[in-house]
Order: sequence, then structure tokens, then C-alpha cells
Amino acid sequence: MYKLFLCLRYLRSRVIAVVAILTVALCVAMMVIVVSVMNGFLNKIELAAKGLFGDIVIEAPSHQGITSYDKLIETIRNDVPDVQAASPFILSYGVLQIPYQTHIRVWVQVAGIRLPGRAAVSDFEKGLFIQKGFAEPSFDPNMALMLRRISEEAAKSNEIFRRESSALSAKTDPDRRLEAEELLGRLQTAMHYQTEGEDNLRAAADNARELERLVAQLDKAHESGAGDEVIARLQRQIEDVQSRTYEPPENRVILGLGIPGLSIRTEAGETVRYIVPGSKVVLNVIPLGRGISPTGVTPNTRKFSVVDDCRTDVWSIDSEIVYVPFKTLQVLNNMDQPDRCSQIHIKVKDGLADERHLREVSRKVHAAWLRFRKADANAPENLSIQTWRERQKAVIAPLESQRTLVAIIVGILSLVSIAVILLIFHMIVFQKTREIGVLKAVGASSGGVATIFLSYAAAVGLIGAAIGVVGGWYFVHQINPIHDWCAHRLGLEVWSRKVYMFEMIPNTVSPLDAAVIAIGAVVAAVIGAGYPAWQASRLQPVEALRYE
Amino acid sequence: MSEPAVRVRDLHKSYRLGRVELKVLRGVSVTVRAGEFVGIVGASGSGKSTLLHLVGLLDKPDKGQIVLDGVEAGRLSRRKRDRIRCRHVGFVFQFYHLLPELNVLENAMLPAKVDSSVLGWFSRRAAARKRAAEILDRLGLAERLKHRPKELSGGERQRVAIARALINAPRILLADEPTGNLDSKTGSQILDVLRQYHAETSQTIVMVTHDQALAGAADRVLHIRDGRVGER
Repeated sequence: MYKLFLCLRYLRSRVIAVVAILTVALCVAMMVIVVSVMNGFLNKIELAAKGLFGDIVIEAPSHQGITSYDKLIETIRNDVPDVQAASPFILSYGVLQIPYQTHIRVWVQVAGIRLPGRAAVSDFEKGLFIQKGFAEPSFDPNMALMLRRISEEAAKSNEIFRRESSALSAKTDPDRRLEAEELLGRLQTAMHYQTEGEDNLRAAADNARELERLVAQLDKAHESGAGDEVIARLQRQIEDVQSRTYEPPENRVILGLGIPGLSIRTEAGETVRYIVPGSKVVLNVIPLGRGISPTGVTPNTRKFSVVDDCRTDVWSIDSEIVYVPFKTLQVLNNMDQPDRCSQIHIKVKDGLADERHLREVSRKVHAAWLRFRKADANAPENLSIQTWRERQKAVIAPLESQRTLVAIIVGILSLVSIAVILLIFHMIVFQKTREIGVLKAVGASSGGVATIFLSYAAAVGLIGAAIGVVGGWYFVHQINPIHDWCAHRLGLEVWSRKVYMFEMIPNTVSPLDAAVIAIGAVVAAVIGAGYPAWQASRLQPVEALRYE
Repeated sequence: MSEPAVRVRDLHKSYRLGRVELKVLRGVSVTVRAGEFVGIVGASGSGKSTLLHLVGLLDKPDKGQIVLDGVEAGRLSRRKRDRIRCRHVGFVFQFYHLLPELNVLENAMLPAKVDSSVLGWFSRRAAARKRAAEILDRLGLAERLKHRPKELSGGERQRVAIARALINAPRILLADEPTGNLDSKTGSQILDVLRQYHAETSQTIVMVTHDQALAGAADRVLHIRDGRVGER
């Protein structure tokens, strides 16, 4: 009886219990935060290294590309049952022009992808704006869906605009005021472009008819030998309408959301898009497939309608890559005649994604290609077939040493946490040695005394660990708003998006990690309290009483 | 003739202080009959507290026999010694040794709690509470039941300690310099409390003190000197 009674009494009436709970909570929270962010960080880096590639990458040694890729894919899929999906891929370079105030020109990488095949080899669809999570995304998304998303985006922008304008009057610092006013201006521009995109989509049919009519007029004007003035006027009109038309599916583009000039970020971490579906952009592609000749660098230019945007959370990908239909890029990159692609991405079946299995599958793919080369005269001559880790060795090697470094840091931190918890419980029980003597003098058994302090430590440990896990989880969950706040108010920007390649600080907590940390804390508490309690309970009562 | 409450035969106990071995008791033999109030007087360092600790099973002798109510304590298991300490021996210390987290009533009831299981406590709680309140009332602490030890004076604390020692109606009450930490007026009040309780209930009491005058309250006075006891 007295065990439970005293345990509860110690918990209730001691400042030290609160201190101990807070100590455990802080240690646990610290560990949860460090482990979550570090692990999340490393996982993201790995994700960044994997980038857009599939599990296994087939690549041509030169920009000339891979011929007969569809037949090769078919052979691989037939011969290697471990392969889940494979999709051809073209990567080239170009300049993107965005119609923002004056045209912005951005240097981008242009990816030619097949939809929905791309979604089968990567997580591409997960980060889409319009077609988020669609199993079969395409370059021709549902019109009603696009309009709905645009109006949602407009409503969001409107709300932010209202919020920021009402906050404006409260800002007295002239610098801050100026900043806020600038943001309001940019929000207004964003809303203008959102409306424009929406109008382009809504008027798609009218614009197409109008364009047809004008082109027919122009033809007629040419035939009838109309004056230059008339022809120039018609051409201007055509150009104007063309800037608004909704292009056919082959001339549509999905943009990386992080491309500069495409969106703004508010202080609160919201993303507001300038460019929404329906907006038009111009893409100049450097035709890498053309081969070496003096004229080899004249870019191929085409107008595209935006239909979606994509966010992988890897900054180096989101800020640089635009996606266009595979066939279109084949033409713009001069990889047609004969048809070629620059890479083939392969996804393996579930459960084979670890490096050992991947290498095995990649050997089988290699064998399949060798057989294919023997059988087909047009087969590509030289190919490199690598797992994504092999391909990114140069990037990943330093990562592995970073992982070791992180493991050491986490190890030291956990030792420190455990030592702190051990120590505080040791002290709590140690200073109660005399009370233990009293309890023994009135007949409490050694086991009974030990039980009091063990259950006390377990209770304090559990409460502290629970608070710590919840607190740590909440902090990690809110880490981006917290960081934004710090960056803005205190000028303390720890996380540079450009340096770390990711849009956000990793903010997920693995339940397993949290559980291990919490259990570790409780065990440390019990051991820390248990050792002195056990020692004191073994003393003769009078020895414990004599303790000063 | 009934068994004496305490019979001690040829008790030896020594302590190590660094390299020196300090022989505190060198063959002490004492007998206390049931219902007796015995005072043991000795100078400080004479081993009188050690003797009391050994009798109260708070420590183990190097050599010798302790028989409480006919039971030879040296042969008992740890568990049985715990039980005797709890039920049959009440101990009053010079420095009170109350638990600071508990109030007066809870401190007094502690040995009763230690003696009960969780379930047993439910059936026993009311009776224990009544007895504790009664004893505390008799000791003049009726108004102080909910106070914490730090809110009490030294004399009051010692009275709480006496109540705690008596809660389980022990066969023997052992008091180790119960007035040693108090001024003489409060000290003699405490002594009165013991004497009165002894008179009313024939409680067997063994009290050690360095003060010959205080020992005069007892029925019989023993002297301890150089680790040996003599009746003089």
C-alpha cells in the first residue's frame, strides 16, 4: 500500500518531479527533432540524387541518343519479369520565356516525357498541381478540373491579399511597410495573370475560331495582293490572338513550380502562382540531337500552353525542369529521323528496390539488351545500364560520409540525454537515502523501497517522454513556419533553399524513431533511479539513516 | 515466568573508521521484562545508541544473541526482520526522521500502511485512522493533523514520531535520545508523555540518554560504559 501511496505523493508534491519531467521532455523532444530532421534531410538528399530517374537508368554515351527504344523496352519487359515499367526520356536544355510584366527568360532543362507512362516509373504525379495523385496524368487534363483549381488558387490569392492589406495599417516600420506594399503589388499581378489564364481556357473555342478566321483573311489578303499595311495589321491581330489560344496537346507544358518568376512565397509559407493553366510560355530548345555542325546551335522555338505544374520538393529539380510531351521534344531536339531518346528509365517491382536486388535486375536488363542487339540491326550499339546509385556515385559517396557524421552526432546527443536523465534521477533518489532509512526502520522491505522509486522514475519518465514526443512532433511539424518566422523577425535564416536543394525543411517524424527515443528515456530514468534505490535499500536501516 | 520482552546476550559490535576498528560494544548483556520502562545512560560514544539500533533490528551485531519475545532475531530471514520492525518494535529517533512530504496524520499512519497490502488497507484504513487520531490527540496534536512536519516545532515533531512508533501497538518502544534535540522544557514534556503512556498502558519502553536526570523517569536505570552494561 505505502508504495503506491508514496510514489503518488512524491509525484504530486515535489518541484523536483516537475523539473525531472521537464528534463526528460526536453531531452526526448531534442532527440525527436534532431533525428527527424537529420533523417528527413538525408532521405531527401538521396531522393534528390535519384532525381527524375527510375530505379535503373539506360543511357546512351552521347547526345545522339538511343535508337529503337520502344522495341528495346518491349524486349526488356518480356525478358525480365522483375521490371515493372519502363519509359523513354529525353533531356535537353533551353530558355523559357514567361509573360510576366516584361518577359522573363529562364535557363531550364527540358524533359521530354510520355504520359501516363512517366507516372509508372517515378513519383512524378504526386507533386502535380492539377492532376495531383492521378494514376494516369496527361498533357490534356480535364478542362473543368483546371478551371476549378484556378478559381481555388484565385480565392486563396484573394484571401491572402485581403489579410495582408488589413495587416498593412499595423506596420509602422517604413521598411516593413514597403515590403508589405511590394507583396500586395505582386499579389495583384498574380491575380491578374490567374484571370488571364482562366480567360484563355474559357475562350479556347472562340479564340481558335477567331484565329482561323484571321488566318483565312490573311491568306485572302496575300492572294488579292492587299497593301503591306493591311497585311501587317492582320499579322498583329493574329499574333495577339495567338498569345491567348489554347494550344493542342502536343504543345503543352508542365512547369517545375520552383522556376523563378512562376510563383511567389508569402512570409507565412504559402505559394501563390502567377502562371496557371491557360497561360502561355515560349520555349527555345537547344537541339542537342542535331550533331556537330556550324548550324548546330540554332534553337528551335515553339509556343506552349501551360496545363499543370510539378513539385518534387527537390529544389534543383523544381527550379530547373520543364516537362513537354516526348514526341514534341523529339522534334524540337532533332532526335527524330530516326526516332531516338536520351535515356530509358526502369522501375522494378516492389520489394526489389534495395541496391543488391537492383544490381541483379540491372544485370538481367543488360543481358536482355545484348540479346536484342544480336537480333536487331537497328539496335543501339553502346549503352550504359546502371542503377541510379551507381549513376550518381559521385553525389552519393559524400552523402554516405554525411550519414556517418549524422550517426555520430545523434549518438553523442543520445549519450548526453541519457546521462542527464540518469543523473537527475540518481540525484533525486540519492538525496532521499535518509527517507529510505526511515521507511526501512518502520518495516518497509528492500524490494518495497526499490519499487517506490522505480515506479516513480517510470511514471516521471513516461509523462516526460509523452510530453517530449508530442512537443518534438509539433515542433518538427511546424518547423517551416517557425523557420520562416525566425528568418523574418530575427534575420536568422538557417535553411537556404538554394543551398539545400529542397523547398522545405523535412517535417515528418517516424513513429518508430519516436517510440525508440521515448522507450530509451524511460529506461534511462528507471536505471538512473533504480541504481541508488537498490543500493540504499540494501543498506541496514541505520546506515541509510546516518547518511548525511 | 513469562518471556522477557528483550534479552540480549554477549553482544559485540565494531565499526571501521578508516583504518581504525572501533569496538563499540564488547559483550553487552541486558534483559528487559515486559511492561518495564528501562533507561540506559551513557556518555556519547559509549555505544548506547548502537545497542538500541541492534535491539530494534536496524543493524546487525558482529556477535551475540538478541531475543525479542522469545524469538531469536539473528536466525530470522530479512522478511521476518522487516515484519518485526514494523509490528513489534516502535522506534523514536533523536532527529525525529519524519517524511517531509506527508502530513502529521499520514506520518503517524505510515507503519500501518507499510503493514498492509493495497486491498488490506481498504478494510483497515478506518481503524488505523481512528487509532492514529486517538494517539495524536492524547499527545496534544489534535489540531495539527493536516500540518506538514516543517510547520511544526521540535517538540511537536517528536510527538508525531512517538505517535508513529506507537501506531502498530508494538511490544517494545525504543527511544534514542528522544529529548536530545530539544530544549529542557520541551524535553521534559516529551519525557512526561512517555512516562504517562507507560503508566496508562504498561508499554515496555527502553530509552537511552546521556542525561542521568532524564533517566530517573525510568523504573530501572542501566549504565553503559566502555561497551559494557552494568546496573548500578
